Amino acid sequence: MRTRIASTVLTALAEQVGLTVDDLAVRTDDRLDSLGLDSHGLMRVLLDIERALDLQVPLDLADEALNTPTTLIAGVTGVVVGAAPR
Amino acid sequence: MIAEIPASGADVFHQLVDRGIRRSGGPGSHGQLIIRCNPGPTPAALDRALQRLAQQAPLLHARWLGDLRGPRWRFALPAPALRAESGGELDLLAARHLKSDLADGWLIRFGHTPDGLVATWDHRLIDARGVMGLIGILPRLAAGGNLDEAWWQTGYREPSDLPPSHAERGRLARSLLPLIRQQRLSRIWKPRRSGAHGGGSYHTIDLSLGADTAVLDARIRATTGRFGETAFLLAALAAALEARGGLGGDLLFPLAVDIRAVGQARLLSNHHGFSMLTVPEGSATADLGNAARQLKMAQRTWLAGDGVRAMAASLSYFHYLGPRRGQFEIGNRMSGVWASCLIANTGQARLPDSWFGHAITGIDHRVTVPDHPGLAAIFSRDARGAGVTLMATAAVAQQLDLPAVAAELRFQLIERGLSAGLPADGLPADAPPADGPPAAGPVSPA
Repeated sequence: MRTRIASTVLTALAEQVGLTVDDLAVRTDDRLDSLGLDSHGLMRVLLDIERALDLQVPLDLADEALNTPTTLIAGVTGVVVGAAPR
Repeated sequence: MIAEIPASGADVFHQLVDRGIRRSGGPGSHGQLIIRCNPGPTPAALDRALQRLAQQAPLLHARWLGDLRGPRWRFALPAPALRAESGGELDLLAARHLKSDLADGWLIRFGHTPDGLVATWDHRLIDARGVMGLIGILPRLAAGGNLDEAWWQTGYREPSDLPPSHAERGRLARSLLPLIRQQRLSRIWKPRRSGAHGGGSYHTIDLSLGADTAVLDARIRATTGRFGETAFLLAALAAALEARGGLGGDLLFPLAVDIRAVGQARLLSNHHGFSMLTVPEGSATADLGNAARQLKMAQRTWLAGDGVRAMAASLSYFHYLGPRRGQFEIGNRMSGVWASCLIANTGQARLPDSWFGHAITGIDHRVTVPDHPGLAAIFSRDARGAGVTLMATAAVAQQLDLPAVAAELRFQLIERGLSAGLPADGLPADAPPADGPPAAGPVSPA
């Protein structure tokens, strides 16, 4: 499940910022805004993740999850599987 | 040689707005960017850049044609020379350009002073993101580089992510109706008109938060979270309008959204859609934080319903509606735009740190506004920090105390108490009591 979540997040994020998943995978510690993500783009990413994971409620992530792709994956994982982010 | 290319639906939308502005005595639907840079480009470098731009983009000297063959742009090859007007004081030059028609058949006009550059353009052809991109590449053009925009290609002016088939695009356009139905049924607040024509003059106030940008950012993070800036800004604006503009309906903000694909330039086109966001009457006055969070959810709902693409799809059919039905769609039987205030949040300026070898110290945005609603707010960020430009036609400015609205907006953005339940560290440590704003600064009549 964690692998699927990470893949889904990276796919949604890569599409929004115009990178391939492979290119994004080596930039997972870059800040989301430096990757070109704005508020409109973030909303679209979260909507895409919700649809792909078939979530029943909107993703409501803490600010700490919105730093980098790594923290975004951790944040979504924490919400979906209820585990504390590493 | 004479050539023609079809106008896009977004071009037609701005053609309708253009007619409304001209009917009230204004110069048409214009946008303006003021690039503050001291020193700016040398006259010789700017001249080289503009000549190369004119050679490679003769579309900037096109003429609008609207007849039974459909709306389109007609232009001649080669285009005439394009030159910047030089001299004077930057803000006065910008104000004069915004009030007057564009010169010599050009759809863009440049002015140049020792303090920077002003670009004024016809919004029927091109939008702010496009002009910002053109300004960004002027140094490259001055050095002999190319524009690299295939503006003559079929589909260049159309959103690339809309369905190509009319059956699918029609379904997408129809999906807009459930999203806007309630907005169309509710009573919308607009500034009252004085009855006198605006006469083409605009009152402008620039608010620059400077060091208080950090205060704003802390309040945004405490209310709507990181990436929740727009919702907070609009809630603050709603509260300011309700406090100084009088109550009388919901506030409807058509938030302009750039719809270029990532990495897509399309500099010589209009490529924006809209998120139609409503602030229920009194909600921002009652509780700023809660209103901001509700707006954030409204943005999400609009996106989840594919509202931006649905509206872009609807606009793409404006070719076929004709001016009367098109005006009905955007003005709800009135001339102008069906909204309380025109809105844009352009975010961080997308220009290089070094432009012609010098730093850009500020970027200001201007637009001409139709008499209805006669009011616009443009939020942006540049080297000076977060800022907002409020604009009103003279007719609306007579009814709405624009300096008072600006002072109130500043108060709402960085001083007013946020809703209960938020952590105290979301507020500035030395926040004054919520007993109203100080007096506003001077307003500049354009």
